[in-house]
Amino acid sequence: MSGALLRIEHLKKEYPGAVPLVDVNLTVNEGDVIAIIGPSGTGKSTLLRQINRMERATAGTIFFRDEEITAPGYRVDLLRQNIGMIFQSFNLFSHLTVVENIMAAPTTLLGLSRQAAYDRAKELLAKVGLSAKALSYPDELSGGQQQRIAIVRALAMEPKILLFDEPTSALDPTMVGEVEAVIRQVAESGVTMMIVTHDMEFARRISDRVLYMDEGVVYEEGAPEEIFERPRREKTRQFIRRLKVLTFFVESRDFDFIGCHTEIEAFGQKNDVPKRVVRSLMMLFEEVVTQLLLPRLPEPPRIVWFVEYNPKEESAEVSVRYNGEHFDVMESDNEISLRIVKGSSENIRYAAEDGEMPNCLSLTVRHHMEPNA
Amino acid sequence: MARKIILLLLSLFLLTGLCCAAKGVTVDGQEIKRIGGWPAKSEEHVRATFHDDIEYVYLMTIGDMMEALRQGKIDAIAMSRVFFNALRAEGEDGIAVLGGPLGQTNYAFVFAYSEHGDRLREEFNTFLRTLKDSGALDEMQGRWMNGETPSAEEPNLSSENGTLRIATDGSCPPLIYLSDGKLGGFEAELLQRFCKERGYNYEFTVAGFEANLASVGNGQNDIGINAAEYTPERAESFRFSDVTFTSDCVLVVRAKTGAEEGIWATLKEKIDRALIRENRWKMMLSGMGLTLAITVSSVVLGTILGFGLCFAHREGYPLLNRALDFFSRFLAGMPVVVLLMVFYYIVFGGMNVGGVIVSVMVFSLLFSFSVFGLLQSGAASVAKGQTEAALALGFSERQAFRKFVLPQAILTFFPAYKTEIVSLLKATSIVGYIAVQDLTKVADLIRARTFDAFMPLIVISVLYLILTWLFQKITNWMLTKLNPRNRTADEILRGVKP
Repeated sequence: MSGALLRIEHLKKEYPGAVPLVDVNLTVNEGDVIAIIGPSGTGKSTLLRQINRMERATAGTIFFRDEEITAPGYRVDLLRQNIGMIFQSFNLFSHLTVVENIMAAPTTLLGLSRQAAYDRAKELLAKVGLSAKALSYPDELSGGQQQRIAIVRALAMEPKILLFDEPTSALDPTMVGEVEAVIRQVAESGVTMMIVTHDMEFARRISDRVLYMDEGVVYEEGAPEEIFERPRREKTRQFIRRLKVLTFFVESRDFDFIGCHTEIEAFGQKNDVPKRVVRSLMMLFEEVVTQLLLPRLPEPPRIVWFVEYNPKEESAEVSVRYNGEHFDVMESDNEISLRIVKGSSENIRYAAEDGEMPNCLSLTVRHHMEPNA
Repeated sequence: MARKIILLLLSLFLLTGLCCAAKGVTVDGQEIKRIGGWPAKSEEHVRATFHDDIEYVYLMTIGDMMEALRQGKIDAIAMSRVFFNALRAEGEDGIAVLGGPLGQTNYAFVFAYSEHGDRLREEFNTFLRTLKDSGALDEMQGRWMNGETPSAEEPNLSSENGTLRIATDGSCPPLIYLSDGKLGGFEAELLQRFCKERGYNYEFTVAGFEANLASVGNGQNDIGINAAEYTPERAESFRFSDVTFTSDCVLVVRAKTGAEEGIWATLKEKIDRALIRENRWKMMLSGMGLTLAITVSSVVLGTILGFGLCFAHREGYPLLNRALDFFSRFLAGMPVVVLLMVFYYIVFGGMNVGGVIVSVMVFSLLFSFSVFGLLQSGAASVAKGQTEAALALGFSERQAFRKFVLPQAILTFFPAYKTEIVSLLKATSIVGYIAVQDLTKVADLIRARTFDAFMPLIVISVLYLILTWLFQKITNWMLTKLNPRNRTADEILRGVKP
């Protein structure tokens, strides 16, 4: 009636002790590329698993091409032949070769001849650059290659819609690019897609609609620029802002400094921060907190480290507040550390204030930086 | 409280002390502490003579008794003189009778407490009386008393009045023994004369003594011929015929012998007795064949049934699954011997179902539940994502399991499966309990016939090893065939032109 590919009405999913989906309403049109973002545990993956009915909804209805797929007795296996799914952990059949992984469903379920299925598989493999791996077993491939094969396996069924459940989360950072490239290529061919992802840059670049999910509903939706640049509602704004800021609270000398490096790296990835800026941020944290501040601060030390990234300027603003008497770390006698701090940042300012943490140091890290004199 | 416990422990200690430390007796200047033999009559005689001064050790075959005597585990054997004579006739020089007889042991045929049993017994007793009156029985008794065990001959019998089903353990020469697949001995001759006289034919099954009594009791067989000693207690459960044979019970001890034979000569003699004489190697081979047949059939049927159970279990009917869980626990908790006997004597008691069939049924059943259990844990070891991926592609639950989970589960299942097959092979060694002459039972029969405990056991150990090796070879080959990774590119791309 409406021509919509997928219509979700008042969908609710309840687990014992948790209600990830409270009331989801959504229409997906043919050709849509939808990115689903939001904090963890807000039912993004659960929503995908309702659409191909890997899980049964507690209440609500879903129409797929105007057929009610939530109706009792509906043939879910036939439905799933039209809906491809790509998993975080690839889930290739580990006892079968790549080409058999791709051929299994078309030959068994669509009645394709082995030859036809093979030809289709080879054609798709060529598109993702993996023709040479047709007779390899999954465990002989890298994670990125496995995920590319998983996408081909889903495409071989010529699905009407593809569901991606965090397709790059389990990948080594070096392999994210190749998988995203394949997903983009598929998107450009006009296949309808829904992608759950934590990679905001990717979400923004690939999608034409972004859903922000929170509180068990589609909290806000819009074009990528709208959601990422001008979010209208409070929680979306917080979420988008939180993506761009990074805060550490150091309240003991046993603080996990090594873990901070991982977080800075993840922050950098999420916001597409240039490698050089990320490296500078790590270095600054190391020098300012562990070398300059901790030896001088009284017990217990208290430091708040705050970073905000500005993509337009490709610069990061760092502000550090700490306790103790008024003192400017930049007047410390640790020459080596001072030189490193000065060499990797600019606009270094100290301000003495009142209150529990009366010291405030701020500095800027830029991608294109004139070295400090 | 503590005093009570100490008292209890003390009395327990004393009690065990009393039990173990028989003080021993002196017979003709020889000290005797432990006497070995069968339960029933020999034990009765020994207890009546020596009371609790000696310890009585139960041993099941004469071969075992001889071995125990040789190794000094017992000081004497209590047995009928007729068996002593048989030992001597077999060339056993190192033994002698000590002192006088302890008492007399009477042997008789066993019939069921039933109308049919009564009628047959009357008929037999009448025949026995005429035989006695004619003096023929005395002649027979005298002839067999000397212990010779010639190769058996079976006369041609007509079956005009029917065929008698005989249950025998065939392992008490010279009273009853198996020789090249035929029944021989005093009791066999008596049976054959009876049959000839009365127009019967007979067929016999070989099983253990207790199993034979049970099969006569429930009507599966007509007569039990086991060199059965008459005791009043047994007579409460079974009808005995009149006494057919009587022999003194004597103490047999080691005697000083002359020069020992060379070890090679002895070995050659033992091999000759265990394998060559009376074509005993044929018995061994047929026993091995039977063991192999039971094992292979049970493995094949059990595996098919096990996969069936696994598929049925996955259909998710709660009642069926609870029943399967119950059965699997029930079978696991039941000794296999008991299960075999229950099936043979109770479940199929009234029906004409052979021991081999029952063995295959019981072992298939047991094996199927092992396979079922192994498959379940194998399937549980396959990552959940494999099923999810298959379902997401549009495969049904069943297809997902059969095409993707099972082939992977098989690989983890297989090593345990191999072990189960070898365990099954070894477990079949108890089918002798239900009248199947498998490898172990054959060795028992030969042991009983030759009074040699060793050589037949060594031979069957080697044969079991060969079978185990064979099964391992076959299963290893199967595993390489089942592992999808061993396929060639051509096999993977069958039906496809690249």
